[in-house]
Amino acid sequence: MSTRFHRMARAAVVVALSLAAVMPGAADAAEPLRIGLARQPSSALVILAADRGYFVAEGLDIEVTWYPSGKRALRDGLFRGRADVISSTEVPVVFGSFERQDLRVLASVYATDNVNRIVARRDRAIVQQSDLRGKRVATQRASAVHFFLHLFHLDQGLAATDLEIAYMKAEDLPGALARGEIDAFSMREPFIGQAVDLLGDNAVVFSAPGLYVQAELLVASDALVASRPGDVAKALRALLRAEEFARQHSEEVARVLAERLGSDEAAISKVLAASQLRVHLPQDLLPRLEEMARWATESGLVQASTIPNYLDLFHLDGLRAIRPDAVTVID
Amino acid sequence: MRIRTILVGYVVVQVAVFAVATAVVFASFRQVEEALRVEDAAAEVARGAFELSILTGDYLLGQGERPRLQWLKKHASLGRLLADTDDRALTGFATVRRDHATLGGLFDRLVDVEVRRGKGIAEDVAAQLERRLAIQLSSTSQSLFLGAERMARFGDKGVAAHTETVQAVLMIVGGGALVLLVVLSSLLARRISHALNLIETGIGAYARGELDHRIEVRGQDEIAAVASALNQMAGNLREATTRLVESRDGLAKEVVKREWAERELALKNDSLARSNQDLQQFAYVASHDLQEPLRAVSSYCDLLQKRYLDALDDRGRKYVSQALDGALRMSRMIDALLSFSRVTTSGGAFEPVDAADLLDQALSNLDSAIQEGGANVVKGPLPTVVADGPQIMRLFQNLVGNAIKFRNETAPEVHVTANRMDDAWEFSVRDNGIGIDPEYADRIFVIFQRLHGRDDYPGSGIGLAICKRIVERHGGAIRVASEPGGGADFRFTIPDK
Repeated sequence: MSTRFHRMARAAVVVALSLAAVMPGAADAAEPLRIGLARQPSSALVILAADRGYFVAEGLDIEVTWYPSGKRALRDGLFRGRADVISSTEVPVVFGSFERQDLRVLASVYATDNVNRIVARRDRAIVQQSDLRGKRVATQRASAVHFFLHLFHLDQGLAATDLEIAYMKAEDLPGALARGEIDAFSMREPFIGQAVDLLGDNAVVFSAPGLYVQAELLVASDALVASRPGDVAKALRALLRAEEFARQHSEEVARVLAERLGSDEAAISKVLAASQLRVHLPQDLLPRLEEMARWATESGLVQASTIPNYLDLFHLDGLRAIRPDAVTVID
Repeated sequence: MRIRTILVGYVVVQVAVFAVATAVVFASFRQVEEALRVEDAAAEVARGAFELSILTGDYLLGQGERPRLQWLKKHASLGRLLADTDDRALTGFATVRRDHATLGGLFDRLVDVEVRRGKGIAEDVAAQLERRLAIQLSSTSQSLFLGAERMARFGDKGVAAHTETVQAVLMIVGGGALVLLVVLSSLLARRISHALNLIETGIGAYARGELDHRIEVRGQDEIAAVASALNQMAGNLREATTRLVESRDGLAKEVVKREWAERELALKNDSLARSNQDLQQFAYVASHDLQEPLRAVSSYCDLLQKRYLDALDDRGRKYVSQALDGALRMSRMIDALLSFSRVTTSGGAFEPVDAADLLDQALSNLDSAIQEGGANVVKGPLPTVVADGPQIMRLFQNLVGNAIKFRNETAPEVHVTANRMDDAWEFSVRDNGIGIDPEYADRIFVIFQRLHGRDDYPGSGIGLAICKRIVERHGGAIRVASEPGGGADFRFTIPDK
């Protein structure tokens, strides 16, 4: 009898949750979904969904807040309750996971392996990559460009101690390099371009295509996923529609992004050519997050003896309910 | 619109639909074929990615020469496959190709770490880099495989989608054609059925004689034309019927008129017959009864001449003699009249008689006249006729006798012949006598009419009248063709009964 009652109760809950998920606004408050974004191509699908009106078509009202980087969107937006959902690369999420266990990765929405750069001052005797030894190299701490710098110097046979690594806000890096406060910095556009503009011929830019495959994650709090599952589903559906549109209209995507990001369309097209705009949750994301977590702990950036179980941080059911084949995480 | 036009249009539409369907299905089949090609290519890439994923794990476990060479070989072959496949129709193809390139770079870096070991790179750096690259390599290998597998899955979906498209097109076109067929057929059937019902009703009305009925079939098709023709026919029938009725009424009136006329004629005929009979009776009685007082007058005149001749002077004797001549002439006239009336009152029965025999009898009776006149009577072949034999004999006798009597200076030559007419025999009695002025051709058949003086040609003046009466009693006719001095040709007909 008890078992039967439990089954009925569970069925009722499932039905109620299902109804809540499929009925617009049935369970969610009629308030906008606040999204925190960095002004960069990795936000392409969100920008595209908003521009094409897919959120509105799904019955979802959104508010976008722009941040200098995904890390800032996570920390200043999500952590401070100023955003419901943010978009960020894995590294800030990994660092955040040591502080907050209530993060929920809704999906990976972007991937690339050639977006980060090292820009250096030629007048500091930096001509080739190995010349970074002993130089003061800055970056945004606990971010993708930080991890890229780590891989970059390893790839050059340099240990972390072979460099003097400094941490700054993303927007402060070009100025610091121009003023000579640092010899180089690891960052992405538009800051690399700003530094080049400031230094002119004195700038040296290094890249390492394929060295670091990074992903952009859509992250929300556990509370939001639990309280507004319908809005989460609408947001994911809108992003999937944007993905489909991008797959068929790559030139239109470049045009929209150039307009929204205030960048050159040709440059955006070049970035998009080395990028993947896809809403999914792949299994290989787990070992990569774990490896970044190990790097964080081993390098002393995070004081922790164990790394989180990132499987627990993945909100699999949201995307799986809409596009089952987009979730390859084995649970 | 004409039904033929509708049917032709219907056939044209069907052919067009069929042509479009064929074109669409053909195009769809081409798409299915292309989708199958894409599916095959995607499946092959997925298989290559899977094998490369296995070799990646194999290499990361031991980093030996064998797995390295195997990995490089597989990576190269997969690269060639991707280069050959290079197909934008494959969903995620660009990602797979990018992952393949990334994988190659990472593997080269990883192998390079081993090479660089002991060549200046610190061991801890090499170990860290190796681990990071291994994770990247493994992750990218998985990504490559999943991307390839997804690509293959989309290929499957493409085939399924195109197959569904073909099915949908076939169903839509087939369904559309069927709906079109049903709609057009029902419209046509309704049109024809409705029109035929109207025509059937109209024909029924015509059959009942309601010729004012009109079949109201609208349009310009064949059925409307038939209805119009039927209406026209009914109108014509109506007019003809009206004319027939009028004609019938006219005929009925005419019949009544004729009946009245026939009745009147019959009455007149009866009256005439009675009158004729009375006249004949009167003539007979008169001529018969006149004979007695005439004989008394003649007897007393004769006694007066015999007994009192001497008592009379010359004038008296002359008077008595003239009285006797008058009485004698009157007696002859009465005999002639009596003979004329007996033609009808005392006629014999009609029976087959040989005209030649009857002619011979007549000639025998005329023998003395023939001998006296030196006449030559030539007989042609004569038929047997149904007639009153004695009267026909008398007819021949009168005509031949006249031919001999009215002769000129030359010896009489008389030809008696007969010709077959349609329904009668025509007899001819032709002579070479004095002839008759055609002016008097009719007059000679009137009783007591004479063309010559009694002294020139003696006779009672009733012979030809009797001939006419005999011929008419037999239903025939008699006429004469002659010129003065040119002989006469008397012709009479006796119906061939």
